[in-house]
Amino acid sequence: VTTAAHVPSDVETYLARVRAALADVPADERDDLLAEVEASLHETASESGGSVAAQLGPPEDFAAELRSAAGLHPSAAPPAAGLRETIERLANSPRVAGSLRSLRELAPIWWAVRGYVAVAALALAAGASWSVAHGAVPRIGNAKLGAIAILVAVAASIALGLWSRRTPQARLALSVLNVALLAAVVPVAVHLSHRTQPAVATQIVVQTEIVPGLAYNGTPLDNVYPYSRDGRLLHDVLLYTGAGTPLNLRAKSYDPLRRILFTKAGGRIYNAFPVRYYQPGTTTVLRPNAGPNVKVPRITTPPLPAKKRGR
Amino acid sequence: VDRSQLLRGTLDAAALAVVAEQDGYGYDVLRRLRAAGLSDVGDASVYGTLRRLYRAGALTSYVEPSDEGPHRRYYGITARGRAQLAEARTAWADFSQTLSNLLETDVEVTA
Repeated sequence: VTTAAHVPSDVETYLARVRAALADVPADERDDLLAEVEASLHETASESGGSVAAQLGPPEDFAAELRSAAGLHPSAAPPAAGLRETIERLANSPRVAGSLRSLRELAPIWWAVRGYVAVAALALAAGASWSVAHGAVPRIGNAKLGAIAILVAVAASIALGLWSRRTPQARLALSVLNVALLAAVVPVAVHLSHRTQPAVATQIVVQTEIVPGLAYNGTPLDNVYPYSRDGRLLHDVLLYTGAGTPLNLRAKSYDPLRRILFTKAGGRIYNAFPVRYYQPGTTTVLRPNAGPNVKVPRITTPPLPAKKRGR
Repeated sequence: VDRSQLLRGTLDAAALAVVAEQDGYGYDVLRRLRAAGLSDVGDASVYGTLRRLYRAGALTSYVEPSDEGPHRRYYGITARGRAQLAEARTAWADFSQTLSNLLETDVEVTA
Protein backbone atom coordinates (compact mmCIF):
# COMPACT_ATOMS: atom_id res chain seq x y z
CA VAL A 1 0.00 0.00 0.00
CA THR A 2 2.95 2.26 0.68
CA THR A 3 3.90 2.53 -2.99
CA ALA A 4 0.29 2.58 -4.18
CA ALA A 5 0.03 6.37 -4.05
CA HIS A 6 2.02 7.08 -7.21
CA VAL A 7 1.50 3.77 -8.97
CA PRO A 8 -2.23 3.59 -9.82
CA SER A 9 -2.44 6.43 -12.32
CA ASP A 10 0.22 4.73 -14.45
CA VAL A 11 -1.55 1.36 -14.14
CA GLU A 12 -4.95 2.91 -14.82
CA THR A 13 -3.72 4.62 -17.96
CA TYR A 14 -2.11 1.43 -19.23
CA LEU A 15 -5.22 -0.59 -18.39
CA ALA A 16 -7.50 1.92 -20.12
CA ARG A 17 -5.51 1.56 -23.35
CA VAL A 18 -5.58 -2.24 -23.10
CA ARG A 19 -9.35 -2.03 -22.57
CA ALA A 20 -9.73 0.22 -25.60
CA ALA A 21 -7.76 -2.24 -27.73
CA LEU A 22 -10.15 -5.02 -26.63
CA ALA A 23 -13.29 -2.97 -27.33
CA ASP A 24 -14.76 -5.66 -29.60
CA VAL A 25 -14.45 -8.48 -27.02
CA PRO A 26 -17.78 -9.35 -25.33
CA ALA A 27 -18.09 -7.17 -22.22
CA ASP A 28 -18.19 -9.88 -19.55
CA GLU A 29 -15.20 -11.76 -20.93
CA ARG A 30 -13.28 -8.51 -21.33
CA ASP A 31 -14.05 -7.47 -17.75
CA ASP A 32 -12.82 -10.81 -16.38
CA LEU A 33 -9.69 -10.60 -18.47
CA LEU A 34 -8.97 -7.04 -17.38
CA ALA A 35 -9.66 -7.82 -13.72
CA GLU A 36 -7.02 -10.55 -14.00
CA VAL A 37 -4.60 -8.17 -15.67
CA GLU A 38 -5.25 -5.29 -13.28
CA ALA A 39 -4.26 -7.20 -10.15
CA SER A 40 -1.12 -8.43 -11.89
CA LEU A 41 -0.19 -4.99 -13.22
CA HIS A 42 -0.30 -3.58 -9.71
CA GLU A 43 2.19 -6.24 -8.64
CA THR A 44 4.38 -5.66 -11.67
CA ALA A 45 4.38 -1.94 -10.94
CA SER A 46 5.13 -2.28 -7.23
CA GLU A 47 7.91 -4.82 -7.83
CA SER A 48 9.66 -2.98 -10.62
CA GLY A 49 8.91 0.39 -9.10
CA GLY A 50 8.94 1.94 -12.52
CA SER A 51 6.59 2.54 -15.41
CA VAL A 52 4.37 -0.37 -16.39
CA ALA A 53 4.72 0.53 -20.04
CA ALA A 54 8.52 0.35 -19.80
CA GLN A 55 8.19 -3.09 -18.26
CA LEU A 56 5.53 -4.54 -20.56
CA GLY A 57 5.80 -2.64 -23.82
CA PRO A 58 3.00 -0.75 -25.59
CA PRO A 59 -0.47 -1.57 -24.22
CA GLU A 60 -1.75 -2.35 -27.74
CA ASP A 61 0.89 -5.09 -28.14
CA PHE A 62 0.07 -6.37 -24.67
CA ALA A 63 -3.63 -6.49 -25.63
CA ALA A 64 -2.86 -8.37 -28.85
CA GLU A 65 -0.82 -10.97 -26.97
CA LEU A 66 -3.55 -11.27 -24.34
CA ARG A 67 -6.20 -11.73 -27.01
CA SER A 68 -4.26 -14.37 -28.87
CA ALA A 69 -3.36 -16.33 -25.70
CA ALA A 70 -6.95 -16.16 -24.46
CA GLY A 71 -8.19 -17.44 -27.81
CA LEU A 72 -10.36 -14.38 -28.47
CA HIS A 73 -10.38 -13.62 -32.13
CA PRO A 74 -10.91 -10.10 -33.35
CA SER A 75 -14.45 -9.65 -34.51
CA ALA A 76 -15.04 -9.06 -38.21
CA ALA A 77 -16.95 -5.83 -37.69
CA PRO A 78 -14.96 -2.78 -36.60
CA PRO A 79 -16.10 -1.92 -33.07
CA ALA A 80 -16.54 1.80 -33.67
CA ALA A 81 -19.10 1.65 -36.49
CA GLY A 82 -21.41 4.62 -36.04
CA LEU A 83 -25.17 4.39 -35.66
CA ARG A 84 -25.66 5.62 -39.20
CA GLU A 85 -23.39 2.93 -40.70
CA THR A 86 -25.08 0.29 -38.59
CA ILE A 87 -28.51 1.33 -39.83
CA GLU A 88 -27.33 1.45 -43.41
CA ARG A 89 -25.70 -1.97 -43.11
CA LEU A 90 -28.92 -3.34 -41.63
CA ALA A 91 -31.09 -1.74 -44.26
CA ASN A 92 -28.93 -3.18 -47.03
CA SER A 93 -28.86 -6.71 -45.68
CA PRO A 94 -31.10 -8.98 -47.80
CA ARG A 95 -33.05 -10.33 -44.85
CA VAL A 96 -34.01 -6.86 -43.61
CA ALA A 97 -34.84 -5.70 -47.12
CA GLY A 98 -37.18 -8.70 -47.43
CA SER A 99 -38.88 -7.88 -44.15
CA LEU A 100 -39.30 -4.27 -45.20
CA ARG A 101 -40.93 -5.40 -48.46
CA SER A 102 -43.42 -7.62 -46.65
CA LEU A 103 -44.09 -4.82 -44.17
CA ARG A 104 -44.90 -2.63 -47.15
CA GLU A 105 -47.43 -5.18 -48.34
CA LEU A 106 -49.03 -5.27 -44.89
CA ALA A 107 -49.16 -1.47 -44.64
CA PRO A 108 -52.87 -1.22 -45.69
CA ILE A 109 -53.85 -3.09 -42.52
CA TRP A 110 -52.12 -0.40 -40.49
CA TRP A 111 -53.81 2.30 -42.57
CA ALA A 112 -57.22 0.95 -41.58
CA VAL A 113 -56.21 0.54 -37.93
CA ARG A 114 -54.79 4.04 -37.69
CA GLY A 115 -58.04 5.51 -39.02
CA TYR A 116 -59.93 3.90 -36.17
CA VAL A 117 -57.21 4.80 -33.66
CA ALA A 118 -57.38 8.45 -34.71
CA VAL A 119 -61.14 8.64 -34.02
CA ALA A 120 -60.92 6.61 -30.80
CA ALA A 121 -57.97 8.64 -29.48
CA LEU A 122 -59.74 11.94 -30.19
CA ALA A 123 -62.88 10.63 -28.47
CA LEU A 124 -60.80 9.54 -25.46
CA ALA A 125 -59.02 12.89 -25.33
CA ALA A 126 -62.35 14.73 -25.50
CA GLY A 127 -63.76 12.49 -22.75
CA ALA A 128 -66.61 11.32 -24.97
CA SER A 129 -68.83 8.52 -23.75
CA TRP A 130 -68.86 5.19 -25.52
CA SER A 131 -71.66 3.14 -26.97
CA VAL A 132 -72.96 0.57 -24.52
CA ALA A 133 -74.04 -1.93 -27.19
CA HIS A 134 -70.81 -1.62 -29.16
CA GLY A 135 -68.09 -0.70 -26.68
CA ALA A 136 -65.56 0.09 -29.38
CA VAL A 137 -67.68 2.88 -30.85
CA PRO A 138 -67.48 6.30 -29.24
CA ARG A 139 -70.59 8.47 -29.18
CA ILE A 140 -70.07 11.51 -31.32
CA GLY A 141 -73.47 13.01 -30.75
CA ASN A 142 -74.65 9.40 -30.80
CA ALA A 143 -73.22 5.99 -31.52
CA LYS A 144 -74.39 5.98 -35.14
CA LEU A 145 -72.48 9.16 -35.92
CA GLY A 146 -69.49 7.68 -34.10
CA ALA A 147 -69.57 4.63 -36.37
CA ILE A 148 -69.82 6.86 -39.43
CA ALA A 149 -66.85 8.91 -38.21
CA ILE A 150 -64.82 5.69 -37.91
CA LEU A 151 -65.73 4.57 -41.44
CA VAL A 152 -64.84 7.98 -42.88
CA ALA A 153 -61.55 8.08 -40.99
CA VAL A 154 -60.57 4.57 -42.14
CA ALA A 155 -61.37 5.46 -45.77
CA ALA A 156 -59.45 8.74 -45.50
CA SER A 157 -56.48 6.97 -43.92
CA ILE A 158 -56.32 4.37 -46.72
CA ALA A 159 -56.57 7.14 -49.33
CA LEU A 160 -53.76 8.97 -47.55
CA GLY A 161 -51.62 5.81 -47.56
CA LEU A 162 -52.12 5.24 -51.30
CA TRP A 163 -51.40 8.90 -52.03
CA SER A 164 -48.17 8.84 -49.95
CA ARG A 165 -46.85 5.92 -52.01
CA ARG A 166 -46.90 8.17 -55.06
CA THR A 167 -45.74 11.27 -53.20
CA PRO A 168 -42.34 10.82 -51.55
CA GLN A 169 -42.33 14.40 -50.21
CA ALA A 170 -45.24 13.50 -47.92
CA ARG A 171 -43.32 10.68 -46.22
CA LEU A 172 -41.78 12.78 -43.42
CA ALA A 173 -45.04 14.41 -42.37
CA LEU A 174 -46.77 11.03 -42.54
CA SER A 175 -44.16 9.28 -40.45
CA VAL A 176 -44.69 11.89 -37.72
CA LEU A 177 -48.43 11.15 -37.92
CA ASN A 178 -47.75 7.41 -37.84
CA VAL A 179 -45.57 7.67 -34.74
CA ALA A 180 -48.22 9.78 -32.99
CA LEU A 181 -50.99 7.31 -33.86
CA LEU A 182 -48.79 4.35 -32.92
CA ALA A 183 -48.41 5.95 -29.49
CA ALA A 184 -52.17 6.53 -29.35
CA VAL A 185 -52.75 2.78 -29.84
CA VAL A 186 -51.80 2.24 -26.19
CA PRO A 187 -54.55 4.31 -24.49
CA VAL A 188 -57.10 3.12 -27.05
CA ALA A 189 -56.20 -0.53 -26.41
CA VAL A 190 -56.41 0.07 -22.66
CA HIS A 191 -59.82 1.63 -23.07
CA LEU A 192 -61.08 -1.24 -25.23
CA SER A 193 -59.88 -3.83 -22.73
CA HIS A 194 -61.68 -2.02 -19.89
CA ARG A 195 -64.87 -1.10 -21.67
CA THR A 196 -68.18 -2.12 -20.22
CA GLN A 197 -69.37 -5.43 -21.60
CA PRO A 198 -71.96 -5.06 -24.37
CA ALA A 199 -75.48 -5.06 -23.02
CA VAL A 200 -76.40 -7.61 -25.72
CA ALA A 201 -74.59 -10.34 -23.83
CA THR A 202 -76.81 -9.83 -20.81
CA GLN A 203 -79.95 -10.49 -22.84
CA ILE A 204 -78.77 -13.94 -23.82
CA VAL A 205 -77.93 -15.01 -20.30
CA VAL A 206 -80.85 -16.81 -18.70
CA GLN A 207 -80.69 -16.29 -14.97
CA THR A 208 -81.70 -19.50 -13.24
CA GLU A 209 -79.55 -19.08 -10.20
CA ILE A 210 -78.68 -16.25 -7.89
CA VAL A 211 -75.93 -14.09 -9.35
CA PRO A 212 -73.18 -13.70 -6.78
CA GLY A 213 -72.08 -10.15 -6.17
CA LEU A 214 -73.89 -7.05 -7.30
CA ALA A 215 -76.73 -7.43 -9.81
CA TYR A 216 -79.74 -5.53 -11.13
CA ASN A 217 -82.73 -7.61 -12.29
CA GLY A 218 -80.39 -10.58 -12.44
CA THR A 219 -77.83 -8.75 -14.56
CA PRO A 220 -74.41 -8.50 -12.94
CA LEU A 221 -73.31 -4.90 -12.45
CA ASP A 222 -69.78 -3.79 -13.04
CA ASN A 223 -70.33 -0.25 -11.90
CA VAL A 224 -72.87 2.16 -10.40
CA TYR A 225 -72.93 5.88 -11.20
CA PRO A 226 -74.61 8.07 -8.58
CA TYR A 227 -75.73 11.58 -9.58
CA SER A 228 -76.82 14.43 -7.37
CA ARG A 229 -80.24 16.04 -7.99
CA ASP A 230 -78.57 18.89 -9.83
CA GLY A 231 -77.01 16.43 -12.28
CA ARG A 232 -73.47 16.24 -10.97
CA LEU A 233 -71.72 12.89 -11.08
CA LEU A 234 -70.74 11.99 -7.52
CA HIS A 235 -67.51 10.28 -6.55
CA ASP A 236 -66.64 7.71 -3.89
CA VAL A 237 -70.24 7.24 -2.74
CA LEU A 238 -70.54 4.33 -0.26
CA LEU A 239 -73.67 2.20 -0.78
CA TYR A 240 -75.35 -0.03 1.81
CA THR A 241 -78.46 -2.19 1.98
CA GLY A 242 -81.21 -1.53 4.50
CA ALA A 243 -79.59 -4.15 6.72
CA GLY A 244 -76.38 -2.15 6.68
CA THR A 245 -74.55 -4.63 4.44
CA PRO A 246 -72.07 -2.87 2.17
CA LEU A 247 -73.04 -3.31 -1.48
CA ASN A 248 -69.64 -4.71 -2.29
CA LEU A 249 -68.59 -5.04 -5.91
CA ARG A 250 -65.73 -7.47 -6.15
CA ALA A 251 -64.26 -9.03 -9.24
CA LYS A 252 -63.57 -12.78 -9.26
CA SER A 253 -59.88 -12.06 -9.52
CA TYR A 254 -57.78 -9.21 -8.18
CA ASP A 255 -57.53 -6.33 -10.65
CA PRO A 256 -54.42 -4.25 -9.96
CA LEU A 257 -55.81 -1.41 -12.06
CA ARG A 258 -58.93 -0.93 -9.94
CA ARG A 259 -58.75 2.07 -7.63
CA ILE A 260 -59.51 0.75 -4.16
CA LEU A 261 -60.39 3.05 -1.26
CA PHE A 262 -58.86 2.25 2.12
CA THR A 263 -60.13 2.83 5.63
CA LYS A 264 -57.84 4.51 8.13
CA ALA A 265 -57.17 1.09 9.60
CA GLY A 266 -56.04 -0.12 6.18
CA GLY A 267 -59.19 -2.09 5.33
CA ARG A 268 -60.27 -2.27 1.70
CA ILE A 269 -63.56 -0.68 0.65
CA TYR A 270 -65.44 -2.38 -2.14
CA ASN A 271 -68.74 -0.49 -1.97
CA ALA A 272 -67.46 2.91 -3.17
CA PHE A 273 -68.98 4.03 -6.48
CA PRO A 274 -68.33 4.68 -9.25
CA VAL A 275 -65.47 2.18 -9.38
CA ARG A 276 -62.54 3.81 -11.17
CA TYR A 277 -59.50 2.34 -12.84
CA TYR A 278 -55.92 3.50 -13.03
CA GLN A 279 -53.95 4.04 -16.17
CA PRO A 280 -51.66 0.99 -16.30
CA GLY A 281 -48.42 1.52 -14.41
CA THR A 282 -49.62 4.69 -12.68
CA THR A 283 -51.86 5.78 -9.83
CA THR A 284 -53.64 8.24 -12.08
CA VAL A 285 -57.30 7.50 -12.59
CA LEU A 286 -58.30 6.86 -16.16
CA ARG A 287 -61.07 9.29 -17.18
CA PRO A 288 -62.18 10.17 -13.62
CA ASN A 289 -65.34 11.84 -14.91
CA ALA A 290 -66.52 9.18 -17.35
CA GLY A 291 -70.11 8.13 -16.83
CA PRO A 292 -73.10 6.77 -18.67
CA ASN A 293 -74.80 9.03 -21.15
CA VAL A 294 -77.71 10.02 -18.91
CA LYS A 295 -79.66 13.20 -18.57
CA VAL A 296 -80.64 13.69 -14.98
CA PRO A 297 -84.24 14.91 -15.12
CA ARG A 298 -85.21 18.20 -13.58
CA ILE A 299 -86.50 17.52 -10.11
CA THR A 300 -89.40 19.56 -8.75
CA THR A 301 -89.74 17.90 -5.34
CA PRO A 302 -88.03 20.19 -2.86
CA PRO A 303 -84.77 18.78 -1.46
CA LEU A 304 -84.68 17.33 2.04
CA PRO A 305 -83.14 19.65 4.57
CA ALA A 306 -79.41 19.02 4.80
CA LYS A 307 -78.44 17.46 8.11
CA LYS A 308 -76.12 19.71 10.10
CA ARG A 309 -72.63 18.30 10.36
CA GLY A 310 -71.42 17.53 13.80
CA ARG A 311 -70.97 14.73 16.18
CA VAL B 1 14.38 -21.78 -33.64
CA ASP B 2 13.21 -19.01 -31.32
CA ARG B 3 12.42 -20.14 -27.77
CA SER B 4 9.27 -18.06 -27.76
CA GLN B 5 7.96 -20.03 -30.74
CA LEU B 6 8.63 -23.31 -28.94
CA LEU B 7 6.88 -21.91 -25.90
CA ARG B 8 3.69 -21.05 -27.72
CA GLY B 9 2.55 -24.62 -28.15
CA THR B 10 3.54 -25.70 -24.68
CA LEU B 11 2.41 -22.86 -22.42
CA ASP B 12 -0.90 -24.59 -21.67
CA ALA B 13 0.92 -27.60 -20.30
CA ALA B 14 3.43 -25.45 -18.39
CA ALA B 15 0.69 -23.32 -16.79
CA LEU B 16 -1.35 -26.42 -15.86
CA ALA B 17 1.76 -28.01 -14.30
CA VAL B 18 2.44 -24.91 -12.20
CA VAL B 19 -1.17 -24.66 -10.99
CA ALA B 20 -1.36 -28.43 -10.34
CA GLU B 21 1.60 -28.08 -8.00
CA GLN B 22 -0.12 -25.30 -6.03
CA ASP B 23 -3.00 -22.91 -6.64
CA GLY B 24 -1.86 -19.51 -7.80
CA TYR B 25 -3.00 -16.12 -9.05
CA GLY B 26 -1.94 -14.63 -12.37
CA TYR B 27 1.20 -12.82 -11.36
CA ASP B 28 2.21 -15.69 -9.09
CA VAL B 29 1.90 -18.22 -11.94
CA LEU B 30 3.97 -15.92 -14.13
CA ARG B 31 6.68 -15.64 -11.49
CA ARG B 32 6.82 -19.39 -10.96
CA LEU B 33 7.08 -20.06 -14.68
CA ARG B 34 9.94 -17.59 -14.93
CA ALA B 35 11.63 -19.01 -11.83
CA ALA B 36 11.43 -22.44 -13.45
CA GLY B 37 13.50 -21.12 -16.34
CA LEU B 38 10.89 -19.81 -18.81
CA SER B 39 12.36 -16.33 -18.41
CA ASP B 40 11.03 -15.02 -21.71
CA VAL B 41 7.37 -15.95 -21.22
CA GLY B 42 5.15 -12.93 -21.86
CA ASP B 43 2.97 -11.48 -19.11
CA ALA B 44 -0.06 -11.18 -21.35
CA SER B 45 0.43 -14.72 -22.71
CA VAL B 46 0.21 -16.16 -19.21
CA TYR B 47 -2.85 -14.14 -18.18
CA GLY B 48 -4.63 -14.92 -21.46
CA THR B 49 -3.75 -18.61 -21.20
CA LEU B 50 -5.09 -18.83 -17.63
CA ARG B 51 -8.39 -17.23 -18.69
CA ARG B 52 -8.70 -19.58 -21.67
CA LEU B 53 -7.95 -22.68 -19.57
CA TYR B 54 -10.51 -21.44 -17.05
CA ARG B 55 -13.16 -20.96 -19.75
CA ALA B 56 -12.42 -24.43 -21.07
CA GLY B 57 -13.04 -25.90 -17.61
CA ALA B 58 -9.43 -26.99 -16.98
CA LEU B 59 -9.11 -24.54 -14.09
CA THR B 60 -11.42 -23.32 -11.35
CA SER B 61 -11.03 -19.92 -9.84
CA TYR B 62 -11.76 -18.21 -6.57
CA VAL B 63 -11.12 -14.75 -5.21
CA GLU B 64 -9.08 -14.00 -2.11
CA PRO B 65 -8.60 -10.56 -0.60
CA SER B 66 -5.08 -9.23 -0.68
CA ASP B 67 -3.37 -6.92 1.81
CA GLU B 68 -1.84 -4.99 -1.03
CA GLY B 69 -3.90 -3.80 -3.97
CA PRO B 70 -7.01 -5.44 -5.52
CA HIS B 71 -8.36 -8.93 -4.75
CA ARG B 72 -6.43 -11.83 -6.21
CA ARG B 73 -8.12 -14.38 -8.41
CA TYR B 74 -6.58 -17.75 -7.61
CA TYR B 75 -6.68 -20.64 -10.05
CA GLY B 76 -6.79 -24.30 -9.12
CA ILE B 77 -6.71 -27.33 -11.40
CA THR B 78 -9.85 -29.37 -12.13
CA ALA B 79 -10.20 -33.04 -13.01
CA ARG B 80 -10.43 -32.01 -16.64
CA GLY B 81 -7.25 -29.96 -16.22
CA ARG B 82 -5.45 -32.94 -14.72
CA ALA B 83 -6.51 -35.12 -17.62
CA GLN B 84 -5.28 -32.49 -20.06
CA LEU B 85 -1.98 -32.23 -18.18
CA ALA B 86 -1.50 -36.02 -18.21
CA GLU B 87 -2.15 -36.07 -21.93
CA ALA B 88 0.32 -33.23 -22.46
CA ARG B 89 2.96 -35.07 -20.40
CA THR B 90 2.71 -38.18 -22.56
CA ALA B 91 2.68 -36.20 -25.77
CA TRP B 92 5.64 -34.10 -24.69
CA ALA B 93 7.69 -37.08 -23.51
CA ASP B 94 7.06 -38.80 -26.82
CA PHE B 95 7.75 -35.68 -28.88
CA SER B 96 10.86 -34.60 -27.01
CA GLN B 97 12.30 -38.12 -27.18
CA THR B 98 11.73 -38.22 -30.93
CA LEU B 99 13.21 -34.79 -31.46
CA SER B 100 16.17 -35.50 -29.19
CA ASN B 101 16.93 -38.62 -31.17
CA LEU B 102 16.73 -36.68 -34.42
CA LEU B 103 18.80 -33.73 -33.27
CA GLU B 104 21.46 -35.74 -31.47
CA THR B 105 22.20 -37.99 -34.43
CA ASP B 106 25.34 -36.83 -36.09
CA VAL B 107 24.71 -36.44 -39.73
CA GLU B 108 27.84 -36.77 -41.76
CA VAL B 109 28.33 -33.76 -43.91
CA THR B 110 30.13 -34.62 -47.05
CA ALA B 111 32.03 -31.95 -48.77
